[in-house]
Amino acid sequence: MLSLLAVEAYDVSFTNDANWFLENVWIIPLLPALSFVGILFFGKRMPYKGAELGIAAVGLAFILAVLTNVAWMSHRDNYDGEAQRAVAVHHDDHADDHAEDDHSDENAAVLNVDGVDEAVVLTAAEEGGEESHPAVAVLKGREWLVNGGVSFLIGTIADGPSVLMLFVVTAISLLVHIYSTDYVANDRRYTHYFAFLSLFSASMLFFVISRSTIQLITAWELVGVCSFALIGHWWEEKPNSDAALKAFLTNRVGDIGLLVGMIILFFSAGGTFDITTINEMAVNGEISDTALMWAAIALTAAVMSKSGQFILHTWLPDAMAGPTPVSALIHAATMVVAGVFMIARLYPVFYEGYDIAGSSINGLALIGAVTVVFGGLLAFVQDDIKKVLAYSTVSQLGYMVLALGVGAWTAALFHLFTHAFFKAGLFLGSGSVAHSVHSFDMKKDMGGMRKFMPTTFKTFIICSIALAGVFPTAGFWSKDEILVGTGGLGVGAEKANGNYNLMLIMGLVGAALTGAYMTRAIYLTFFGEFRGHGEPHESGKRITVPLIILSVFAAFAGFLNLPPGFLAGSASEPTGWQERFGHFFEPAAAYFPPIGHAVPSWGLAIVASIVGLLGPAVAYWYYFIKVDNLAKETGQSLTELPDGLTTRNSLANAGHQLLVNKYYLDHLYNDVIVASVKGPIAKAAYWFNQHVIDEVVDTAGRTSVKAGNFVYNNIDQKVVDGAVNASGYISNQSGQELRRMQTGKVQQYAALLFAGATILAGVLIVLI
Amino acid sequence: MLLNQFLLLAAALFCIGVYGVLTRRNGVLVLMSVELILNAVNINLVAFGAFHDNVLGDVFAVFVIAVAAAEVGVGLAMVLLMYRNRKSIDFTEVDMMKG
Amino acid sequence: MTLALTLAQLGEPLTRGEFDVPENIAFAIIAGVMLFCALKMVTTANVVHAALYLVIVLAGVAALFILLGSDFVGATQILVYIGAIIVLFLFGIMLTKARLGDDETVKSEQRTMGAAVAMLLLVVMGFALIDGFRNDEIQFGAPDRIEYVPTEVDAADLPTPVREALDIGEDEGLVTISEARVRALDIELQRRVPGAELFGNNKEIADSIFSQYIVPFEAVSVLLLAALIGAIVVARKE
Repeated sequence: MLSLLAVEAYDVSFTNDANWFLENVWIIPLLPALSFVGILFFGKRMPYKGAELGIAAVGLAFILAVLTNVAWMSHRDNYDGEAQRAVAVHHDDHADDHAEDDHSDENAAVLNVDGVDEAVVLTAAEEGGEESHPAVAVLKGREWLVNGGVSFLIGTIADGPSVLMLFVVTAISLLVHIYSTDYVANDRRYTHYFAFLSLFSASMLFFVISRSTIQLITAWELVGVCSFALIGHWWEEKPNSDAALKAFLTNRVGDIGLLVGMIILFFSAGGTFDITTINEMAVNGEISDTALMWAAIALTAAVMSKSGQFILHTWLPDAMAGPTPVSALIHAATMVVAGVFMIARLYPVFYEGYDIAGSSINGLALIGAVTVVFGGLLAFVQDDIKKVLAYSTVSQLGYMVLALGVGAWTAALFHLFTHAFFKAGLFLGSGSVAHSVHSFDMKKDMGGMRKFMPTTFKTFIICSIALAGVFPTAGFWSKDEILVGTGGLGVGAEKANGNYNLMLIMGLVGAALTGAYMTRAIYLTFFGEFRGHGEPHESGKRITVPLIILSVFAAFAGFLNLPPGFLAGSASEPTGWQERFGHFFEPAAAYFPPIGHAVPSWGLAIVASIVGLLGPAVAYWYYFIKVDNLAKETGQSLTELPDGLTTRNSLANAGHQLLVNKYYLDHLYNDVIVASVKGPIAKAAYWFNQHVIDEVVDTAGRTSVKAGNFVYNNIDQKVVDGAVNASGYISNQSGQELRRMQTGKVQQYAALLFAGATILAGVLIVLI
Repeated sequence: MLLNQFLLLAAALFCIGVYGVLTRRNGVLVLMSVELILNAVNINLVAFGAFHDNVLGDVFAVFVIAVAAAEVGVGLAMVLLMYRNRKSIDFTEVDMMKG
Repeated sequence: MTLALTLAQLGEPLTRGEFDVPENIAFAIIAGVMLFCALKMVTTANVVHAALYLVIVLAGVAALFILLGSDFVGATQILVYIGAIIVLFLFGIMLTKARLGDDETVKSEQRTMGAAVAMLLLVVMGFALIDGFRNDEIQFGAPDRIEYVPTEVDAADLPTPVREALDIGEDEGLVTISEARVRALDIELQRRVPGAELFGNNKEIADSIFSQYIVPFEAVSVLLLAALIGAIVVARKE
């Protein structure tokens, strides 16, 4: 009766032949792609300016995604057909995870479209018991081109993470589409907006079902392009286009890592782009540890830029310049999790490359942990509500990366799942508020909004509670699972992958910070006196209904992955309704490493809850009590205490300044790195170009002109033309001369005749 | 006797005849030179006939004589015609194919 | 095995011709006269003199013919050439009103070129002739020939091996042995046939013309007819 806790090595990975939905999962990204094309060409002429096409496509994709998920759930335990591995296993060095490069059939994995020949026929899992039935991925593909002996596949993979993400992306995208019809109504580029929303949905869906690293890279870049286009939707204002460029260029820096990492994986896996093959080889130890380490490090750089980890996160807050639904969809729920998803997809590379098992610290987890804390700290000093949420996203992404870094794979994806819903709810809620006050600045234009927008207020509160991780909302379950998964300080009952003490502590700190800054944001927005102008009112149904749906998810989605031991069962004997999420969506096949699963404990849950409520408590005390009282006393609408800590304490003030300036990272990037390149280096390059390269080119040009002239004057005119003229002259003159032979005198003709005949005769006689 | 005596003599006569054909201005004299050539050929024929002890040489020579006679007849007729037309039988004046 | 059988009827062995002095002297005189007159003929300014020189040349040619033993040709030469063609020439000279006395002036370049061509021709031909017929000699009178003839031989006169090879009994008397049988048995029977006489091959010429070369003969006849008609047509008054 072992399910997730079984650390068995599976013998199969995939099959080509399963349920129709799983085999034809390529249809799902195709629908928004077609709607992109349709909206581009026909959108302006349609009655709803293309929005109906986008909504129809995404809606249909959502339905298909739901059906695919249902199909997957029945496939996962009940598949009884043939299944295969992608790579044959050496039984002699299977025990040795760190075997070096003497694998004679690494090439067996190359060009392996259909897997090795030994197919195993599986039996369906018995009713009620899930006898370690492997979760067989459904791979479909075809050879797209062959070049230089390398086969490029294009195909789809339908396994746990894929179908999960299909659901998440289509659901959030559908809600955002509906929301957008109200939010960007009468916009100057309404149709264009929907076209790019469709393209983004198609790209992200394509990303999650990518079978080969090439497809992954392509989709990665595509979502980056869509992000650029959508952030800069109102590009007429320069800050918006600047933000779009910043997003794209910062992502570019990370993309170098992506390409390098994929190249390393390609070569070290023996020349294959197939993700399943690479994963299996990494699990078997057929790829050398050094290669995996460097690949993991390079890919981490990509994750840092795309998923906003610390150092390369600077673009995310600026990306809030785009329309709010875009922020909800792309920069909260789906695109920024592309990096996290990539780690989840190529997990064996990271698991082995970072040596996650059995350590207490590793690079990936550290990056995640730092992001959690530093992103959270920055959220405190923002006036713009969207920027608060942006830094919150950075921090939560840090949690996901942290989870992956400590080996809690299911926790990371579960947090991704829940975060998508409540963060999208928060963003859309902020959009709803901003839509009515026409501004995002909390301090200047908001305050006391709960009176004007009750529905938005309620959904916002529910999503914030979920974000803060309060029992029993979704965030509690997912964040707790991450903290347990770190295995630090003895939690997890020795079943976790390591004991990451530092990560646990930083995760707890982050939890406290989360609650605190959300409390601040809520106070500034919804409480106190209204500081703006105009008459704000509740938004329309198309905005509030998605908010309600999302808050429902935020509240109840956590029950999808109840930890074993909660209300029934135990860690070693989970019941059938516990850990559903992990059971269905964590891969259990030969291409996934056997990771450890920490045992959840109530002790940690209680401690985390206390710590997590500590932050909001402090913030509540500060804002709701002190500021509010002061505001009531003075009759003003205040946003902060005028004589707060930062004004009294210079160290606190310095820290505050540090946060306000975003750790001076932007200054570092723009004014130091970029300026130094723009300045002296660019000038030097320009000088070199003008004076050296251009000199060479000019000299070559001048020389050829001179040579050309010379050739023309001397050779062409004199020699060639001379020859031609001479031949003409010769013909003419010889003709004139020979003409003299034609005297008409018979005897002369006769003489010539005789002479000729004689000479010929002489020649004949002499020679023959 | 050496065969070559006759042959060389015939060759000499032939060349003298060629000289005459090429240099003589009077048409009749040209025809006479042609006769010289023909006779040289006849000598050749008969000499070879005697050498090979074959009557063919004689027979051929007879035919040549007959043909020569015919040719002289026609040739002189043409010379007369030329004289009649232009009152001169100077071959150096016959240059209507000049050019 | 070849048996050379020399029969009593075979005459003396063959002899080669010796240097025949009178004939060579005759040839030398005739040749010298001919060459001189030919040269004069092509160089003289007087048309009638040229014709007369031609007469001498033609006569010399006839003499050579007779020297070579072709008296028929020689006679024909005199009759036709000197008798008819020269007369024609003289008529032609008369009718074209050739001036009596010196008439011709030959242009210098024509002379040079003509001489050059003639010399060239002479050199080429001379070279060819000397190279080709260096030591060939004309035998006056045909040499005696040896031929295989079917002959009647007394069987008793045959040597025994020959007789047995020919399968002839000794006492068969006169037998005719055909040429074919002789060849088949590869034995030789020789007979010296006396060569033709120097003079008097008219019979053979006549036989030849009227049997073997009848067609050219008739063709020449037609040619003469055509020439006759042609000359009349060309030369008649309009």
